[in-house]
Amino acid sequence: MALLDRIERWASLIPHPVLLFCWLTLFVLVASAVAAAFGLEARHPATGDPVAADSLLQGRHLRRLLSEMPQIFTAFPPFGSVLTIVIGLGIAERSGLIAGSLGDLLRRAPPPLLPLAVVFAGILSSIAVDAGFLVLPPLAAALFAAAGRHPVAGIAAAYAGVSGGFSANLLITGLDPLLAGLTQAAAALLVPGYTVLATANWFLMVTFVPALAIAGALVTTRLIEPRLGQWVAPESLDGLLLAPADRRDRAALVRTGWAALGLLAGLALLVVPPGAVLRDPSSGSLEPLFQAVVAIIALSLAILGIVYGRARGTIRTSSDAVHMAERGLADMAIYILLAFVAAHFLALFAWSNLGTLMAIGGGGLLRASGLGPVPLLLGFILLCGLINLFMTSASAKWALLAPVFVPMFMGAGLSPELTQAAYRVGDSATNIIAPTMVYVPIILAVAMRYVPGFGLGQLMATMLPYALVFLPLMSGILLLFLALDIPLGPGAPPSVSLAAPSPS
Amino acid sequence: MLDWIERIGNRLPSAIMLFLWLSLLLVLISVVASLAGLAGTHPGTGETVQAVNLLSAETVRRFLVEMPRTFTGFPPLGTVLTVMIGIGIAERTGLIAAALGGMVRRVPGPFLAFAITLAGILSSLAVDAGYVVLVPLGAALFAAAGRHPLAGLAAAFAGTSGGYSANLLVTSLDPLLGGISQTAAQMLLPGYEVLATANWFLMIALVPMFSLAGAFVTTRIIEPRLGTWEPVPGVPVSAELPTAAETRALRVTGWWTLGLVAVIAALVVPDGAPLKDPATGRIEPFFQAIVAITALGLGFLGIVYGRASGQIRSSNDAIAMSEDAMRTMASYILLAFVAAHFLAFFAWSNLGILLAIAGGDMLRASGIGGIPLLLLVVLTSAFINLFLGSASAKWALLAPVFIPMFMLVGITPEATQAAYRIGDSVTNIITPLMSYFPLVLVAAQRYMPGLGIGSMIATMLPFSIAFLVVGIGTLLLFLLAGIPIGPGTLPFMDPIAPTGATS
Repeated sequence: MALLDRIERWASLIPHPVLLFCWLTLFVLVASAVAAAFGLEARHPATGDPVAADSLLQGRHLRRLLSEMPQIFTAFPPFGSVLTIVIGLGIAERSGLIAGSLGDLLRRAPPPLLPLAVVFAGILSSIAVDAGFLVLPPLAAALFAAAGRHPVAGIAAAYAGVSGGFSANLLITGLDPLLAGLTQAAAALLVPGYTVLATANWFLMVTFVPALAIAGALVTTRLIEPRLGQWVAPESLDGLLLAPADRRDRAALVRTGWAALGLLAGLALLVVPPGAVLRDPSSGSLEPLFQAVVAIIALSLAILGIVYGRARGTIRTSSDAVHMAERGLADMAIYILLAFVAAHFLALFAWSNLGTLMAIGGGGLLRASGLGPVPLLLGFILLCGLINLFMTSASAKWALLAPVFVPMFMGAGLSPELTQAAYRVGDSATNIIAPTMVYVPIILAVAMRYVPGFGLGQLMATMLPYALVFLPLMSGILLLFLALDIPLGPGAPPSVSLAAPSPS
Repeated sequence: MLDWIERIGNRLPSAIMLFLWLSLLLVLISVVASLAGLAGTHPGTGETVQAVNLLSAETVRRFLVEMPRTFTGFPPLGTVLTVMIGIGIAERTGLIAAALGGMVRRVPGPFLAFAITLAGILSSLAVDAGYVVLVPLGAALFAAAGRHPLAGLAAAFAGTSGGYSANLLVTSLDPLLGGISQTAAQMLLPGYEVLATANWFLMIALVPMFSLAGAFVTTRIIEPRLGTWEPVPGVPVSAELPTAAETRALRVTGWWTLGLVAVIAALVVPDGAPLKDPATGRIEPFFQAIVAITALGLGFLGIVYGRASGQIRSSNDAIAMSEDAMRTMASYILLAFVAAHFLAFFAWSNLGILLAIAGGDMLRASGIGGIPLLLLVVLTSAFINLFLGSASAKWALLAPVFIPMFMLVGITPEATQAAYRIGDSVTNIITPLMSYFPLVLVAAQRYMPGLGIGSMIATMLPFSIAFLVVGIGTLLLFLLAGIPIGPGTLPFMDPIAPTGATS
């Protein structure tokens, strides 16, 4: 506790996040120039191409930065999704739907249940690409506030689930085939023809779900909430967001319930029948549904909010609803600003190649350390966690690390599937404390709404306990699978003997 | 007449609801059109274009899956928000009001409107910067001069958008249109070349004509109609003389402005400068960078002024100003969301293309020839422009119809292209479907809360008509006097086929 307080005190010295990203950008500019001056260079482990540090202080980078600025900004991955969701969420919140429908229920539920549900929902949400990042934190904050608890604890629980639990899931996500493909290519360097399935880590991922959900809920109620203390709503916050439910809400809720049923039926029609609209026309998979989740949630929230608002009397004319959506967007003003600076920081960082060089260099160092297999595996997890702070794309990083580590661990008798699992453990646990994560702006913006002046340092201090619990927990489970020789997925044993390559 | 349009127009629902209803209408039309099997032949490619049902599985999936991308792919969104980050600081420190206030109070009435229209016309060099920078600036200038801000905004909008076809330099649109014209001309005359400078002389001649027309409409029609403006609380208008502190801060900012201009010059002027195209040495990249330079430059100067005048004490003050500017953009973002989807629906359903094809066919079937037909081309492109904004997409549809047709009667492809451009630009300012219209409306609503689409269109209509008349007149002058419309480009040529010589 004292340590966390001290971290937070240091953290509060960190400047405003917008300014911080400006400083970070300046730092990358200088660092890239220095690195390029020293001729920093490495070989890409997969392609063998040389990767050199590229000084950002060159005409072509400046030209690109200045002439593409608006595009770099709007291409920032979650930008469009965030604003889309906010339009629907703004109506749902301000019509009183969220507080009215759930506030009462939440106040009566036992305290640990809410964070458990939030973390759990967060873990499962990674199936729907990034919708979880955009919907759950604001929703959890509203729920916690409606339950009379600290909204930042809700944001933290949601973020921990979505981001820290990125490698846990009950189903196979879009990331699995991506990683498996890279692992397979790396394993083939040593054993040609070795196949790695998309289900390579499935059993392990399923095991992580309850473990992380319980751990996340415990951290929220035992560590985070006591530290945050009592929350006092700032005056800037719309009173309607927290309005307690009354009799008129019941009737409005019933009507909204029917509307929700209708929406669900409509959605089922778009999804269930073979050849339905939201199925891939050639393969029949549900991939289009997952990509459409942002639009579906935004539209549903807007429709249900309007239905509820009309019944409750908070929406009388169309311009009331328009106004609510506008207020929702106005609250995101700081997000737009943060997205602008973060987008440019990340773009410049990518142009400089510094992240790639760090990953290659770190891999080389660990490899040269001469550790035994299990300590090496733990070292590898830590390395992945560390690199993740600077380079958050899971597949880009793995493309760099897999060709180095998969063959190396195979030589030590550990299966490619296990190496991939270890990578994912390290890769996800530190997501929540990585300032380079593209979702940091939205998390900050949501938190600032409830606690004006909330900064990046406070966010990091709040998220650190989750990372410190998740990382050893997942590493322990992974080692348990290895020690007991439990398959990590269907036909994917944790160890492998090179004399008789696993057919899997 | 204008009052009537204003009344009818304002009876329309708010802009956002209007786009929602229009989108719904479009969905219905697309269903009917696709059931009826509406189709046309693309004159350029020869492919059959069919009306697409917006309720088909494919488009519904596309709508849902791509929603965030359809939204952020709306061209002006990124530009507008980028510039507003910088302008927000400059405006909230009072820099813009103070800098403009002293400058414009002594300018005679018609001259200010002339200057603003002229600046708007010239701004099309810098892609979108005119809409984002000049339109709000026009309003601020007029407000600072004690005149009606909507009139200034209208003059800037008319110049930027209605005067899109006029310029002193060749813009990035020229090679685009020239390429399309050339392809169409080669259908009849293989090897025919249309240069980027094909309409240059005409474009230059249109600059003073449009500026004069804009100044005339602003001072004689718009301002008397609007009457006097009651300042709205919360809108900074510097009517008073600047205080001593402000004057000092302005002087400091002036020096920094000079420094900034020197830096920009260093980036643009020398051989091999970063903002020159490394291959050709042209300053195209500079024009593309104007948005970023405006945003960063105004943000920087705003901070300098704010620090000197005491408005900005810490970095947090500047951040709060930018944030506040973003907050005022909320209604624009919502509008951009619905407008982006409406325009996407229009494109997905192919209805815009079909409309253009039908218009071209009708003109051809009308049996009119020569110069009167050329004037009809102006009107047709003006009409189609109400529905289909993209200048190059429209020309890709119309050029293959018209260019060979006119070549047969002895009118050059360049002259046909010139006629098209005049029509294409003048109606930009009266169609709510133009992608910057929402931005202009939001900018106007800052000064006149609740201003409706009808009032906006009624304000712009006189400009549109005046530009159309002036544009046609100038074109006729070139045609009848046989003046070259570009270097080495005459309006008339030997007719290709012996059908009816005009020259």
